[in-house]
Amino acid sequence: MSRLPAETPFVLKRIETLSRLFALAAGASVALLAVLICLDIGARSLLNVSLQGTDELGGYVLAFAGSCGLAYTLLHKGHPRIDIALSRLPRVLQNPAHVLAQGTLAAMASFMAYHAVGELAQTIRFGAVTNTPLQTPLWVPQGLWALGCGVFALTTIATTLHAIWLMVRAPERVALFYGPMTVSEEVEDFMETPQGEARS
Amino acid sequence: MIGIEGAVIGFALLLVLLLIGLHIAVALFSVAVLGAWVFFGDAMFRPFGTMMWGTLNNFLLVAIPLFVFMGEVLVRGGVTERMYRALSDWLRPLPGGLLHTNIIASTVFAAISGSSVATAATIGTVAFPTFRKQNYSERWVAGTVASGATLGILIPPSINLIIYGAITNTSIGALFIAGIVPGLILAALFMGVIAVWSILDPRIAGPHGKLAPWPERRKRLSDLLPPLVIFIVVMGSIYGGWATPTEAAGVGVVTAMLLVALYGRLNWAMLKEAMLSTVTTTAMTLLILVAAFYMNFILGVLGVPRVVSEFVAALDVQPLVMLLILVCLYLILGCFLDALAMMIATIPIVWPIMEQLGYSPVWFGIFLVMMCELALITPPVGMNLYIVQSVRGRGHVGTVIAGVLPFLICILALVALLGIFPGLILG
Repeated sequence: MSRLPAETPFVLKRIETLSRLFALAAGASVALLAVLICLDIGARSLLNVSLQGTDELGGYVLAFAGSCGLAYTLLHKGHPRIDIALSRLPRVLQNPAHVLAQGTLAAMASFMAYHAVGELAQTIRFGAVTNTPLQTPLWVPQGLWALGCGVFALTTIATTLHAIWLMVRAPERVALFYGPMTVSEEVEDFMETPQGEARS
Repeated sequence: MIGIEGAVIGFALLLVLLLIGLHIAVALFSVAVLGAWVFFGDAMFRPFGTMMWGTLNNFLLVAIPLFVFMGEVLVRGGVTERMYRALSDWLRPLPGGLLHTNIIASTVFAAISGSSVATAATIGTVAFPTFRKQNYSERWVAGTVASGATLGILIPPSINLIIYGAITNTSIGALFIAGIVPGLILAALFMGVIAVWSILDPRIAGPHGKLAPWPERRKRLSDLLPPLVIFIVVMGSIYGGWATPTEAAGVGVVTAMLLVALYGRLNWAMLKEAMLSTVTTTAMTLLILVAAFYMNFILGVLGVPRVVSEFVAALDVQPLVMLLILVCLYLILGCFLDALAMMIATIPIVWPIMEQLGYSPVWFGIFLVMMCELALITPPVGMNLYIVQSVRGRGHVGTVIAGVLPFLICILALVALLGIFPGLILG
């Protein structure tokens, strides 16, 4: 297959940069959580004091990583699809299937964003604070969550439009952008770590 | 509320949506939304926001990003490569020689990572170059890598078991501990097959070669310590009751970073890749879980689990016959579905049946994960087959498929064993 240079539209490039920042922040929060958990366990078993609230923060970290990582995952073909039937179809039928997959994902993402924002609005209206030692104002974690869902919804809408545009203007490139992840892409994911000098 | 026909139609629709290539999460979500809308209008859409927050803000599931991150750090920090070399030093003299390394390395790797894909890709990358120099049968090398990697989801920590535990409200600690014995039996069966076969047909293994000199072997022996330390820290803190599985995962992450730092491989570039990869896996899994929890909720309101279990009770089949039917069903589904999707989509329907027949949730969890293992190596969709083929980078995937066949039979044999002696699974 001749690979045409895969030009990503300007808007999607910007979204990619943004989503990468979100994903890195989410990843860093996971690492910090691990450190916090260790401190908590250490304090609990050595000093007999509990830091309180690690589990609560853990929940927020998951919500943060799970929502703010969605867009980055999409742009890196991380949301799985089953391609057994797809890969056997002629391109004329494959392309609409790829567009349909993006479109339905956009519908789901919008549904999620709508309900997340609704939940957040309610939290703000009641000024909800958690009934825990941390007394977290719930709008903070839920705000990040709704933001992540919102960015995901916008991303899916952009990719859907891009997929439709490609189907009309450059049908041979739809699969490159919106086909399911190929196995070699999946393996590369594990191999792309820069190997340092320490490799023996 | 809904008859057995309704349940069947819903499941068939789900399969169709999956096969036309919708994202797995979207397929689950669409069936749930459609069911809710047909029977209740938009009344059942309203709880969605609260449910989504509940799914994401779940301390049990926090174990997923932590365990994924731990595995990522260990792989990218070179722990696996070193472990593989150290193991191969000792397994050379066995009949079947280095083929055993693939199984044991996968077993050990499984104990520090919850993913089969990671296991297959990592072990495969180290294994193929080593074997090519030594004239081993490529079919057997590929078969051992692909099958050994399935152990990743059975031996704790296992992402699949965490998800199963969260969906069915089963103790993840109990599931983890229950996975150890079947995991070790399966590894032993795999090694038995290699040994017997290579005695019958010595051509599958290359020359035994000479053992490396003792000081060299002893030096590399220390490379087996990191995986051992991780396993003891993680499982020890769960088993010893000092930490929940999620907390144990957190301790595992910090331990992994310290170990990799000892190897001088802890740097920002590596951490960044590990973080991005962790977030991708987490977001991918959680999107599916959000859809799955919503689907479970809708199925529950519609009374599907009750309808299905009453239907099966009325059939009055023997538990073992039912189990046989389920194994056949999962074998077929596993040929077409991704293992995780298969597991999540079938739990709400199959679990009530198993409960009705008197199986414990822990037993069913292990059974289900073994069905996922089969799905990972059955053509045409078995993910591990393609991962291994891709790492191998030559020949045809048919060689890998032929290679996993003897091991597929091992998994089925273990399922039969567990069916007859359910006591092998504690809990």
